[in-house]
Amino acid sequence: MESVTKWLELWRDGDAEAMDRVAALVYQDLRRLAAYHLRSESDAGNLQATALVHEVYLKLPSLKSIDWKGKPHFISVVTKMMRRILVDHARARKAAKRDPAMLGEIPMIGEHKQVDTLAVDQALERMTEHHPRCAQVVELRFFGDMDFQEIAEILNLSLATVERDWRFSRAWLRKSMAGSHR
Amino acid sequence: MSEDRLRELFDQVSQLAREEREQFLISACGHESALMEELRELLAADAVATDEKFLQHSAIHIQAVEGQSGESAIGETVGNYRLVELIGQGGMGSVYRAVRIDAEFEMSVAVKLMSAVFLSADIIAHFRVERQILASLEHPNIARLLDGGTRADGLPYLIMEYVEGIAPGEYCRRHNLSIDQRLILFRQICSAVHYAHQNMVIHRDLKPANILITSDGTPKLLDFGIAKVLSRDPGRADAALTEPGMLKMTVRYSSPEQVRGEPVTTASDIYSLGVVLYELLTEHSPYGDTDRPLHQIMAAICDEEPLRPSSWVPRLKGDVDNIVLRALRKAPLERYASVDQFSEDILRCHDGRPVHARGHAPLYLAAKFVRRNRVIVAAAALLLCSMIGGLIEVTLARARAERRFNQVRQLAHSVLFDYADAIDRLPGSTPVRARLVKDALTYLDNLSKEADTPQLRREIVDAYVRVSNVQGNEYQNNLGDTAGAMSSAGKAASAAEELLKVDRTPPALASAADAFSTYGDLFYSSGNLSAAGPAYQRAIGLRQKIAAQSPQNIENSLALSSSLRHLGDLYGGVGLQNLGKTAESLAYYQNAKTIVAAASEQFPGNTEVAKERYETLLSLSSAEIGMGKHEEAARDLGDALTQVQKVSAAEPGDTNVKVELANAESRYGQMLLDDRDAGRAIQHLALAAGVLEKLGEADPGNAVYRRGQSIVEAQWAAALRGAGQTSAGVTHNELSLRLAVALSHDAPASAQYRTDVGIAERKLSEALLAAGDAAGALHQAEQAGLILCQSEQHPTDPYTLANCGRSLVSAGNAHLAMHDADRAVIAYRKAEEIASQRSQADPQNAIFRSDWARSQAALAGGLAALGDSRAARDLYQQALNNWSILRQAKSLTGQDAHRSDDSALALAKLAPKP
Repeated sequence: MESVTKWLELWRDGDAEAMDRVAALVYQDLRRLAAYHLRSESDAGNLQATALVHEVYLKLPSLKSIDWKGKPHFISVVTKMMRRILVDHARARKAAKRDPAMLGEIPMIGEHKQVDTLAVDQALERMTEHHPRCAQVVELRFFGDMDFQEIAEILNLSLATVERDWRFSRAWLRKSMAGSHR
Repeated sequence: MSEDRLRELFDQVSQLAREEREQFLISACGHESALMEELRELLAADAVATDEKFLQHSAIHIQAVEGQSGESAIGETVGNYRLVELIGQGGMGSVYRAVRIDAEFEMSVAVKLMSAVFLSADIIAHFRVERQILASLEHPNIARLLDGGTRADGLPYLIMEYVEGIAPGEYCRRHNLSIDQRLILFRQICSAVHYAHQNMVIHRDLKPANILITSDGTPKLLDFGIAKVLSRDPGRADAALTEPGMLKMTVRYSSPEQVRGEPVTTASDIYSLGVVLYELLTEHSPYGDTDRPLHQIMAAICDEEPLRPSSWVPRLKGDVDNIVLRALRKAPLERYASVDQFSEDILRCHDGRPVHARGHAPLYLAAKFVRRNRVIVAAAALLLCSMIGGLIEVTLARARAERRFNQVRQLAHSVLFDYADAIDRLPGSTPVRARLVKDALTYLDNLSKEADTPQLRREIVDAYVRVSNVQGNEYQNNLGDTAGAMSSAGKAASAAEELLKVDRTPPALASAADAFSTYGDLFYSSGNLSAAGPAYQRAIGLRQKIAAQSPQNIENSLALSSSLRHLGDLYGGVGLQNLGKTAESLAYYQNAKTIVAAASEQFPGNTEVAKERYETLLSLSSAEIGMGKHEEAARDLGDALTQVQKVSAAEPGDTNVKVELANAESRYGQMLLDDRDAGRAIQHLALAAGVLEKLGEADPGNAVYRRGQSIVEAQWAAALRGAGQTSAGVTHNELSLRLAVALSHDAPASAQYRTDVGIAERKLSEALLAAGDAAGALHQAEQAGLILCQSEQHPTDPYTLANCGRSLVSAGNAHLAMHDADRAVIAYRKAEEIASQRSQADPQNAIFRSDWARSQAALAGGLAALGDSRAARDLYQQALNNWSILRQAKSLTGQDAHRSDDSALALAKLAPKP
């Protein structure tokens, strides 16, 4: 993490390339963390999942010493990475399901349907063109596992605005995903 | 169609009640039918999304839940077991009930299959090592790890005791357990955790899901240490630094340090147990609503004081509140020192005894923690220690790689100084310090190779001094490793020489002085008396230079006084090996007394000054006794005892003060004994022995306590004998000898400890003789002579020589009691030779003169038994002359006065018949 700190400092000092280096380093870390969290116990699933993102921040203590202006940017970068990891993971799982030789018959635990991560990802891509800020809110909420208050802070919006954005986005995405994706 | 307008209208219309929406759409959209259609669809989607709880869970949650579904392995074999039933989905994969393939009866085990996804090779390798440790945990309340291995596909599995049971909360509700019954259940859980801690295993993931209560009410803990197996990733250098223990931890039961990603210790388990107990008693979480968002729960764990348990269940007000909240303190050091202590407090509460947790205001300083916690479990402390060791190791490795020298230095410094200081006065801390020393030496040796600034050189000097003191400075609590201490002190002294070449500022002079005085201490305690003096003089010279520059420097005054005192010990310290120059010794002590008296006027309330003052007074009074200055001695010793008693009352947890209290009581008792006031002497000596025994029990590895107790037991024995309780006296002499032998055995390099054994044997000899066992007395006296009289080759050590003489007198007494006057006279004659040499070399030393007189009187008695009345008369007369000199110098003790009277009587009987 030391080298991450160094790159973050460079980045703060105006070295754009540094951000890419940070991203590469953090990405490795995120993958590792995600690996742990994705095999969490079911009763703790929610907490574990949320812990992941928090842990990323905890593991970057240098963030505290970094200029606050850079922090939202950094978090949004981390969230984008999270999104990439989760989408990859969902894709891999889907592939495994199609190949019975790999994992055999997979019994689902519980009957509740789950949203298809890949479908949300694609719908979100379309939404970015029309409602970029809303797409950001969704990204932070759905892939970054942030609550509204945190999102408001990161995007420098009022809590009410974030909640309105969310309601609109949810309707927009639900409409966009109607039919085949559920 | 403008997206902005769409958005604006959606926000407005979605706020309206359903029946008002249509009207709003018509008036707002007018003829824009596409916009209106879009809005209608969005409103429909909004309604569906709400119904479906669409996007209520985040992607990672969804995938985590999906991840629960693994392949079913029912029917497969793992090791010698066949999987028969899926019983759960654990953190690592699936858990199956399984039965032995080859067994005639079906005994179930639980088999954990680790999941393939994302398991790195590092983790699998580490898993194998940890498995061995976990398999060794054998406790009725811990689900046993029976076996483990690797399946054909390379994935590890664990075979564990199969436990059928329910969660504790559920069990309590179902059986409607009372508060007391719940506490009893919880104490069983504690006993399992305590056992694991003693075996160096931290659970790290204590929570109700990991505790099952079987149908007969026995709690069983699952997954001990598994969290560590999973969270350790040895491939990463900083893994140990950050301990990603919260990875698998259910946050609700995590300690603040786990939430912050800080190192996990036994105190973290204590915290989690606290949460479990809180929930068992109140059926609520200490942090309120469990549905709070995670970041709030995390923040609450770190910052929020939990509600008192009694705010849910009023009956818990008082001790239970205090006990639970003590376990839930934010700072690990403020919690119970061990699970055992936690459990003990619950028992005390149950029995209606006062609990430890009561009435302690939050104390945030480690030093205060030390004072408050009287008992620390060595195992727990060692764990803490190994954690620090790990920190040093890892940081060193990183620092070498990154050349980040200052950070290591800082870490090393704070570990060695702050931490070692904090635990120095804690009973039972010796093993911890031993471990600290080992780690500290490793990095110091590395660090000193790269020392290139005066500042760093100074730190290295300080560090070696500290290590040496912990290893074996007899003036402080130590590990009894004299040889190791000597080596460290030597390194400190050479580093100090290097330092003085480049830096002569007061801090550098002070560090160097410390190094030299420590070196002096070590020379002294290893018997190299001639080398000790120059080292002390060097330290004193440097200290005086500092004092000339800054006379107000209180630390320097104290160090100067202390060095002068040690030099006094070296020249003529009573009860210590010394150079036999009592007059010089007295002068050094008086010099020290003057300096510390000035400091005391300057800082009247300062405890450190008070301590140095009573130590000086104690040494001075002993020297005064040696010089026969009984009035001065009685005054100084009385002053010293009063001072120690005061400091001890003010700081009841300070073990060093306790040692001094024992010391002062013992010396005061000895003074009373010398004045033949055995009754009062017994009171003081029993008190001293009691204090030392308690200290020794709390910290069995501590040499100072054992040595002190050995000496005091012998004094106590003599007092008992003086009071006519002969057989009780023998018992205490025997205990004294046992303690001395054990000490010498553990530290064979120490001449002092070896001499102690000889003295204890000699005193036992006297006791046996008084009890009528002459043969036993002879044996012990000869044993004593073997040790004490070997030192004749070292003429610089008059104290051991004097003891050699005394052991010869004891042997002679035994021979005489067995009517072997010839051998008695041979022994007495040798004793008299030694004593006369000693006394003539140091004529002002009252003790040596007293020895001489006693050996002369003894020899006279032997000669009289042989029938040589003339020679006997001469010697009695010489003895009486010596006692008379002592009387004139006001140095005659009550016992000697008594002996003198006896001799006069014997002489009268031997008077030539007219």
